[in-house]
Amino acid sequence: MLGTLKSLLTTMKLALKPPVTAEYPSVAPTLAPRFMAHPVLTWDKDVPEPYCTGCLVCMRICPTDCIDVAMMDNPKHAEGDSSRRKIVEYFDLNVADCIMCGLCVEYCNFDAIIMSDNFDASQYARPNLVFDLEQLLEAGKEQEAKGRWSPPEAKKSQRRTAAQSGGTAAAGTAASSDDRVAAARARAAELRAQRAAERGESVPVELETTTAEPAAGDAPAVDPRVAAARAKAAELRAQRAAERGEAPPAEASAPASETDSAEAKPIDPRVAEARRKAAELRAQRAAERAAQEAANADSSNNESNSDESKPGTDAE
Amino acid sequence: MSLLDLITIAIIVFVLFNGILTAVLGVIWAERKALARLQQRVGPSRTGPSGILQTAADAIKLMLKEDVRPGSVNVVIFYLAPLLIFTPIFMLWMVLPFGPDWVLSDLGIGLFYIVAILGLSVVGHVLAGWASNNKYALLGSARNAAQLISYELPLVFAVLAVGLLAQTATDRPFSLAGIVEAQGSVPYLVIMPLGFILFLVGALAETARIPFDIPHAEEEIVGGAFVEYSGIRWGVFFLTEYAGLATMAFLATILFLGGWTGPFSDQVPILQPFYLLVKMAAIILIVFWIRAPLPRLRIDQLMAFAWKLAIPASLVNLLVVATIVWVQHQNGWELWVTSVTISVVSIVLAVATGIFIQRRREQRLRQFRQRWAQ
Repeated sequence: MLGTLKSLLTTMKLALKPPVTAEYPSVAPTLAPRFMAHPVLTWDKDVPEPYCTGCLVCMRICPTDCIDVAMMDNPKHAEGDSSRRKIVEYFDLNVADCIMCGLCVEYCNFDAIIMSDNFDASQYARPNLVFDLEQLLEAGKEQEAKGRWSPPEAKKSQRRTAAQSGGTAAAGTAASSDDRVAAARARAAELRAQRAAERGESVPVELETTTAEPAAGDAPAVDPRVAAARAKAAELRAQRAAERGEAPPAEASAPASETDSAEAKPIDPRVAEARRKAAELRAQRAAERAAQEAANADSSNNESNSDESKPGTDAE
Repeated sequence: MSLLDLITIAIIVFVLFNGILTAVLGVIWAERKALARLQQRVGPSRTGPSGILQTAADAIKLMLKEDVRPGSVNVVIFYLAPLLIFTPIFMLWMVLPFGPDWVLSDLGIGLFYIVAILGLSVVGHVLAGWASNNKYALLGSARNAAQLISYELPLVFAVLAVGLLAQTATDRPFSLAGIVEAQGSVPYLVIMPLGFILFLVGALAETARIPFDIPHAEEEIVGGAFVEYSGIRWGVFFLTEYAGLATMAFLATILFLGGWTGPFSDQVPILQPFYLLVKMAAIILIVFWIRAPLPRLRIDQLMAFAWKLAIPASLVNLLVVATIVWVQHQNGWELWVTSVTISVVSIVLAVATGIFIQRRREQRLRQFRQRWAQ
């Protein structure tokens, strides 16, 4: 009776909320900023021609072998209009096979290929799912119009050298160039260095300084939000390291005497208790193992080579 | 009866018939929309504005569908059954008043007429199930007969209590228009809430609405008596169901919600059908609302509810109303004293019934847990 009334109330509450239905064809869904559907090709408006030189890198890296490309001599280069000596002759993308992994984009040396958001590129017949050069370039222009891609200022190869120098020498140079990839690489290098430092020196106080300094130095050059997040992460890490730093003494002192374990008050007494027990157990096992080894040594000494199989079974 | 009278009647019947059909389309659309909102969906939205033409499109599709007749059916009864099901519902509308003067035939025993005709539709169901020569269809029609017989009683007792009550204020207590007049400004829902609840439950069961849709449980007997029907014949069954719902809502409005009375309904007669339809829509929406959260009852739960609870409760309701009306006759009480007495007793009864159900449920749960705890 009451349950029935409650269920009626629940449905009425639901009725007051807006429907959750996604009215897909009439209302486009909101996609995540990094949403990836099949890749498309970009168009160089300055020349004009595709960025793609038909270098086959994407075709070779593609895990599902869905790309078919060919290269040809660029006629515009012969006339002096273009700096590209080679240009793509044809580019067939089989979307039915594509797994939208983005490896082709990652490996392209010429910013020629980008991931699109054409998630509903469905066709009535399977052969129509093989998109040719023209369709891909057209789709690329659409992506540019949507603002999902903008032509790069510097060539990819130049950016890479900049990023490499930034990664090894100083984070400042990479951060000052407005290239996000280079910044990301620099950040990764930073992190790597940091981790190495952590591994090398486990003293919590020093850790705090090493993590805090680069974060503070990066802050003006990088997005302030990113810097803030990084600073917070560093703080957290330092905190945890401090906690960890405090823990070992408690653990170490526990087996020695019970009064010592009571001193480590910031730790939960139950945890301390458990740790103490664990340490005791460990000590006990170590003692047992030592005793056993001693016994084994004794037996092997005593029986020498007469019975070789017995130590083997013990080990098992 | 002159030829003119015949033509007039034919025109009125034609208009009423098509009015019912259109209303049914509207009710189906409203159900789909309301149910969708109760489940956080949108409902039909493609055909016409807000999908309002969806049911019309469905009806056209049903009419154009091939009318399949399985080889093993009893042909005459198979074709007769849809008509036998639809006709009683249509006959009910002959006595339903839209206003004091807006009625085809204001029978003095309208209440009895309705009770009698309501029981007829089960014949169509049973014949459809029998003629289909199909196990599921027969099961469905048998369930329908059992359910209708069980829930006819509380429904009729509740309706009779209304007639008894109307006797205190009018000299035509069994005419529907008379009942509306007898209610005046205080609808019988206020005076007799237990009777209204019993009537609503009975109406839900009579029209085989969720949670009482055991006769055509799609998941077990794939639609019950209409399994073998297709096309427009199936459409007639479907239409009858919703016409029955609309009829029941109409009856509930007349018997318990004061019919066409409302603010300024005496001064502006055109408001009367409007009030009636608004109240009817409210009842129908409540039925849709009940449909949204509740699952289908088991057949034993259905029968237990009818015979152990609904029928005794409706009998008690009838007894209380009859006693108080009799006492009023003996002592010459004012009308409002009778109304208040019945109202208080009825509310107490309704609450007591609710508490009884809850107690019983808890007791059952306790027994169940004890049994499984061992």
